[in-house]
Amino acid sequence: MSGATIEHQFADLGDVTLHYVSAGAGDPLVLLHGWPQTWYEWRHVLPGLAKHYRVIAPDLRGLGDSSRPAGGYDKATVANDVWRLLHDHLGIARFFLVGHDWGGPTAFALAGAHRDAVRRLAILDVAIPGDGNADISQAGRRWHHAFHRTPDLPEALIQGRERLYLSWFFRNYTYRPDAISETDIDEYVRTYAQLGAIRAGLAYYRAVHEDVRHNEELLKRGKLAMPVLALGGNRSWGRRMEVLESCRRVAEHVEGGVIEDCGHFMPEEQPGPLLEQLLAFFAGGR
Amino acid sequence: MSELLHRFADLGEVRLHFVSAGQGDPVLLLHGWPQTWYEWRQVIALLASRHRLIAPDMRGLGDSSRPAAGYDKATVASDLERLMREVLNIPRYHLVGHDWGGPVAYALAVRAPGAVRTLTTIDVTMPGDGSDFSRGGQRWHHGLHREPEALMERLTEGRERLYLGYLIRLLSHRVHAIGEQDLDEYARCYAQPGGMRAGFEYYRAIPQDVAANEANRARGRLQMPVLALGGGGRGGRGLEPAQSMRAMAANVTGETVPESGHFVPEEQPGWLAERLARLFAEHRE
Repeated sequence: MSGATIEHQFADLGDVTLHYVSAGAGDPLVLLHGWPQTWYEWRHVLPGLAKHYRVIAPDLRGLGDSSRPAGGYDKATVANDVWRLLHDHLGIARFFLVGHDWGGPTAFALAGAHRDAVRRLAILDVAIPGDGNADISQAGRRWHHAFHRTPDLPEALIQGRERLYLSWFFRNYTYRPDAISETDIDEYVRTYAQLGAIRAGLAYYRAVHEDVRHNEELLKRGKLAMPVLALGGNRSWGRRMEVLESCRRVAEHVEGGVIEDCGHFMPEEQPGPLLEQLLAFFAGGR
Repeated sequence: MSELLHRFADLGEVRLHFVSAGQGDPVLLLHGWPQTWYEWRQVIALLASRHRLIAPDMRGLGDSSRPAAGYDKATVASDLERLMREVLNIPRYHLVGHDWGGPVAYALAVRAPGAVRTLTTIDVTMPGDGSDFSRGGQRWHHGLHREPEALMERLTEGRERLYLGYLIRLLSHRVHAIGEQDLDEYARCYAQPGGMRAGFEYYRAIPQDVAANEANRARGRLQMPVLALGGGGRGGRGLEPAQSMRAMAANVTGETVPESGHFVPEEQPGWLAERLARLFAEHRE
């Protein structure tokens, strides 16, 4: 993380306290992480972005060092947390936005609710629930979706074995399993092993039907009009062109494709090519 | 209640535990996952006055040994064919399979069509019947059980009873049918070293089973009478088993079991014993 001074701060929003890191100066650029991760997944791209932008990367509701409320894990509510952080707490009116994994649907919900505030939107290796494609779980290939939605069982099986479970995804969903080192896994497990963090993570999956309904409502007001960059990993569990296809169903102006030699964990597997794509895309909107 | 005989058959690469009881036309009862011969205890008691019942623990499960490999259903069926022919010297029998015991029973009927008088499958569909065996991920435990690196072995270690109990309850209509002591008996077997692994291997062999059954289907359908039952209540598969068997056999009767989920032999033992007795009586030697 050479070059960028990363500041850690907390925003008390009432029903939730968000931990967020920020670095750099300039137009605001917001990075939303996925599961089973935290703001930390952005560590490699953050310094490069911070040379040009004021970068803000929160831990989403329930995850990382943010607080873990009992409810509110539908992406509209999670997105509204981020909106309150940016708009109410930091006084930011307009920003660039990036979302990976569950950060993607969260970013979509945020962009759909505040269409003028989000200048450009990048979606990384995730499909948008409610995009008209009934099956974001790839016919059960992504069994963890259904498993995570099953009540109580995953909590009971994962309890005390958080590292084992998380590591399995880091090893199997990457094309380069060495992209996320044992020390990095330590950092993810540090927060996911805390009481309530697995529950909160599972709640993101359990809210997916709500997300579908909400996004279908959003889309009745029309597709997103801001430019969208959609990127998928082209190897392993990367979603390949599915990201672009999904985004085209929910937004008017979509560009993108795949990042080569990359699985699902794009910001850590291919930070260089990703940074290049993000800088080029957001430069077009400054 | 007739006496249960527990015996072991050493078949070389596997040692099968099996229970037998009663006298009369022989019936082979094949259990499913996450169960053992024990799921048949009530059905055995109800049929033992009329039939000789054989209920083995299939390869890797119950008190049978747990070989490293051979969990495709054709291999599991060959164990049972040898048990009946070489060890027990029973040339013809009625065959009943529940859950994974169903695809094993089908594989056995394909292998030894002359030995199987009637075939009954209970609340299970056949891999390779032309449909998606895991129902587009709806049966999420299929995907989970099949994952590499022993993910599920490691997640369920020391928590076998919790996992088995959860799934049994999830798929039961009459949730008290399998009591705490019954669950103890299943957990006793599955918690042994290799017990969970062997069970998951039944799922990991699905691609092999699909390929084998597609080839079987291309060679023609089974000709013996087939009864395909599905639980008609919560957790049961309704008429899906009948639909599935019609792709595999020419002479299929499909029925649903009232007020039963997936665990028909324990949720509706009386109904099942009566239905089987009627089927067997219609197809006496």
